[in-house]
Formats: sequence, C-alpha cells, structure tokens
Amino acid sequence: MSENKSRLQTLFEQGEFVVTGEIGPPKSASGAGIREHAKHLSGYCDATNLTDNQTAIVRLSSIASGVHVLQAGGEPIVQMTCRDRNRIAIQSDLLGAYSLGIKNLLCLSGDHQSFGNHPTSANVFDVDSLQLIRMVKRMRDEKVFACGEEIKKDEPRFFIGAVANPFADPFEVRVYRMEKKINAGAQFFQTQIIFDLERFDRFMELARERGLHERSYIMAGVMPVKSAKVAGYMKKFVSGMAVPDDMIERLKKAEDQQAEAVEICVEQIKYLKNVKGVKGVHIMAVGWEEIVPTIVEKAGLLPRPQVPGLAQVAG
Amino acid sequence: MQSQEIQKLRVDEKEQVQHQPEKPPLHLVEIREEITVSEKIDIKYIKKRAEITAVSYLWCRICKQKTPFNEARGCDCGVIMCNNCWGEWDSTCPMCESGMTTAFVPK
Amino acid sequence: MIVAEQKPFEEIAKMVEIFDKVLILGCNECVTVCLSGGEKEVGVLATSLRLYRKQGDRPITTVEETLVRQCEWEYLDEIEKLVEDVDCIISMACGVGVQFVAERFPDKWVIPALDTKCAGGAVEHGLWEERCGMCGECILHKTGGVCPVARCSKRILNGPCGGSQNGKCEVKDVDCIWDQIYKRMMALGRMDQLMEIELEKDWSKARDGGPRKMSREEVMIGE
Repeated sequence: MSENKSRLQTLFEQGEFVVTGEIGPPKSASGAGIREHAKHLSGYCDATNLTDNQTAIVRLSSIASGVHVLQAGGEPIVQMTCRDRNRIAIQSDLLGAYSLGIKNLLCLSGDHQSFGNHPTSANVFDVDSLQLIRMVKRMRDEKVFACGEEIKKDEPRFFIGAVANPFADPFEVRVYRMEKKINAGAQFFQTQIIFDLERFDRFMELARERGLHERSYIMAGVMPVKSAKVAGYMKKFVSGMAVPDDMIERLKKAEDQQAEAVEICVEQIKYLKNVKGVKGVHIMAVGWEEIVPTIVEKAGLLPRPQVPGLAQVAG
Repeated sequence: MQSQEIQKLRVDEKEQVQHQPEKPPLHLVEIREEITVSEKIDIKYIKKRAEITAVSYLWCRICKQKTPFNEARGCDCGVIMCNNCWGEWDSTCPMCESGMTTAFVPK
Repeated sequence: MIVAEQKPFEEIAKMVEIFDKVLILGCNECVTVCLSGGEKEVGVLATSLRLYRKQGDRPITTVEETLVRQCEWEYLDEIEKLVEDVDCIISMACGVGVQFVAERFPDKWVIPALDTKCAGGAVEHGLWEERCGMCGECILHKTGGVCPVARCSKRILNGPCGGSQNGKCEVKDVDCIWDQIYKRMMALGRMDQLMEIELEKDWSKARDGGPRKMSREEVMIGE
C-alpha cells in the first residue's frame, strides 16, 4: 500500500535525516498567509506542522490549514489535541482530514485552556493523547471506530506522530511514557524544544536502552531564540523548558544576537544529527519563521531529498 | 469568626439603633469598616471577586494573575500579558519581540 | 465531604434586595465543617444583611435556623412554620440542600448563599482541596490511591503530560498529580501497572451520562 504512505513516512523509511517546520495558523479566516509560508519553506522542510489552537488561542483550524499547505504543494502534519473535542468530534475530524488528503497526524493532549484567550471555556479531555494515538491506530489497522464499530470502507490511514518532552518531570517517566505511546501506535516523535543537550543525551540513552529508537522515528525539536531576552523569558515563564544559563550568556555577549541565535541553533542541529537514534529535526521558529531556510542551509541539510513518484515540492 | 465577634457586631448594631433613634445617619464607610474587622467578610476580597465575575478575565503569562479582559493584551504568536507586565517588558512581546498590538474588548 | 464557599456578600445582598423578611438556613453537615454555612456563618450573614439594609434605609428582618441536614425531608419538616412567615429562604447549604429546600417548599423563593466547589477535605487548617471527581467508576486501585480524574487539570488517565515540572502542574498552583502517582507506584513496586495503557473512560457513568440515581430496593418502603 505504498501509494498510501505519506511523503514524510517514505523519507523516514528511506533513511533520510528529515527536517520539519511549523506554521502557526492565523487568528483570521484567510489561508493566504499559510500558503505563502508553505511556499517559503518549500525546498527547506520536508513537512510542516500545523498547530491545533496552540496555547489554547482560537486560530484557523489545523485541518483547514493542512489543506492550504497541500494546495501550496507542501506536506502537512496536522496536529490534533484532546482539549477541544470529544471522541466523536475527533474521529469525525480525522475522517474529514484524511478525505482532504492529509496523511500525517500528530497527537497531543493540548495546552490547558487557562492560559489561552478563552479561559472560561470547558475543557473536554474525553480521551488523552495516548488513547487518541491508540484510537487512530485502531481506525487504520483494525478498521474500527473507538466504540468497536467496523469502518466498512475507506478507513483513514494516518502516519501517527506523538510528542515527547525530555525536559518535563519526573525524568525517567518521560521515557516510559514515550514507550507507552509507541505501544499505543506512535510511529514518529517530535520532542519539545531542546536547549539542554546533556539532558537530551541522557534521555536518548534511556530511550536506546529500551530500544525505542528502533521502534519509532525520533525527531529532535529545536528553536532559534532571537535574543537573550527571549531566552530569559522562556527559561522563567514557559514551563517544561530547560534553557541553560550559558546559552543566555552567549546571546547576551554577542554583538549581533540574531546571528548568534542562528549560529547556536545550527550548532545544536549538527550535534543532534549525530545523536544515535535521532532521525530528524523539527524546527519551531515561533515568531521568527522567516529564519528557517537560513538555518537549514547553514546546518548543511540541503538539498532536501526527493521522493520518487510524489510531488516534488516540499512544504 | 469567633462568636464574641458576632456578639460584638450585634451589640454595635443595637447601639447604633439606640443612639440614633430618630433618623440614623448611617455612613457607608463606617459600617464597611466594621465588617472588615471580621475575618470572614473582607470588603477588599469581595470587590476582587465581584470584578472577576462581572467581566471576562485572562491569565497573564508573566505574573500568572487573573487580569480583567480590558487590562490585557495579546500577540499574534500567542503570548497574553497584563498591561503591567507588558510595560515592564519594554512594551514588546517576550517571545517574538513584536509590539503586541492585539487588544481585548470587554463584552 | 462537600466543600462550598460563600458567595460574595454583595451578590447575596443583591439577590434579596426585594425581600423584607428572610429565613437564613444553615446546614450542620459539610458546610459547617468547611466553615461556610453552619450556625456561625448564618449569624454573621444575618447580622451583615441587617446592617447593610439599614444603611440603605430598607431594613430587613432575618430569621436564623440551622438544620441537622438540608438534604433530608424529615429535617426540612421541622421548619415548616418558620417558612410560612418569610418572603424567601437563603439556603447556606450546598447545591443539594438548596434544591431540597426548594422542592420541599415549592411556593417559596430560594436563594443559594454558597458556591458549591467540590468533593474534598481539609488538608490543613483553613485549606480544602478537591479529591473526588465523582466519575461514577472508581479507578483508585490503578493509580495508587491518587485520583487523576479529579486532580489532574486535564484529567489525563495516562499521565503525566509535558507540563509537569518539579512536581507542579503548569496550569495551576497545584501539585502535578501524575508526579505523585508515579512516585507512589514506584515506592509500592507497581510501576509495571502504569505501563499498561488505561483505555478510554466510560464517561456515561459520570455526569456526562445524564443525572444519576442510586437505588436500594430492599430498603424501599412499598405502597
């Protein structure tokens, strides 16, 4: 069924070091920006994530955004959270997404709504991210809905992704949870943004001990941090994020902080590329998307590979 | 609250009635102060609660405090801050360094 | 027990502004223990209301009474006489008590003085915390006696999520309950149990399935 495989999955299977980017959909009803973004990343990223109302702020839907990326010739990875939909809505949306040509799905719990722009809304969490992964896998492999009812034809066949945060606590549990996600059906992982390479090394060591790198494609998450100020903010106010002091110091001392930021990010990617079991890098340039091509180029990740028989334009 | 305090409140109430039997010029502020003495009915606390239930609020990413809707601002990248913290952050978004122009309008 | 907190006084005053004689009804159970609707609180509310109304030149008469329980018909029968004489009843019980009062006295206007918060207990003097999510199907045997349904901000059944840091939840100033569950299971040597995927919960047994009932036929008194 190789014609059903996504471009992303094919690249992993070919043993390529995969590069993915991220597009935050707009707080408006126009997809023009997304298409523009997708074109901008074309040739630099093999696929792009479309976030699902990230930080619980209402934005253009991730599935619709994914379709805009497809229209621009790109390869979307649609994010699906458990915060806003119950199992009925999730499955319905998955059928819809697949019918529109979306093949990569990233399953997450989702940020709690408290810190978003609708803090008084109800939180759904009918299923959690693990149950979501299992649900998507069963729809594909067992051709059943969550309730057990048969999907008579045209089941959604997603390439299933999940997230792992090596920097949240308790540390050891992070690897166990990753394993649980693999057991549930996760095929690829994108990690939280990595600044603390040492801790990530320890995480990967534990993951390798349990053979997780052979059971899934692990992509390391990176982020170019524009300035020492932004780094300081992330260290102090964004939870689940380990920002080392020497990185902040390095940015502070730099004459051109943005150039230094690119340099740091490139160094990180080069390092991560050599960590055993890391199969790709996911670049999250929040608020600084235009820098992604430069980073990919400087990290020596060009040219991006082509997949025979698939659209030659990357997204 | 201790029962003596309840007693005290009741005594105060009686006194007020006794002292001004004709037309009691009861001053709002004075009485509020009476009530503030107790642990249970803190006027300041009541005011805070009343504001929050009256208008929508947001959580500031920096001070992690509930902020009335119209005293907060947002950024396209997703950061939400109260005006105070935004000011302390040189009036820029701490994440993407834009000006944070999105305003919230109360219902 | 049920944990409830008194509404802001101004809100209560506003709800009774058109009434001149009210019955303030306390409850001797949970809300007495959590210091929000017992005899003392009834006294304070009555006094405050009278003072407040006097200053607004529209005095109010208050009748104070505290029942053993508001959620049982037999105790409500005791106040039948008192109720006849008042314009409205301010119930200082949880939402259950308020509704029993309203149902027992259908021709009286009933006002809730409390916001019912959760099923919990006092963890220290003056601090009450939620413990049970009343999901209708207890899973505490699977999570080391610590409830993720009630105590995880995202009620995640296969936690912890990525927002757990230093044992704290990123959402609120509360402990990450999955951090505690793991620590407890590890200490009890039950980690393998947590590696099993907890499947989708049957929320129909919770409030999602509609209002719930519990019956015991053997104690019902037939016609």
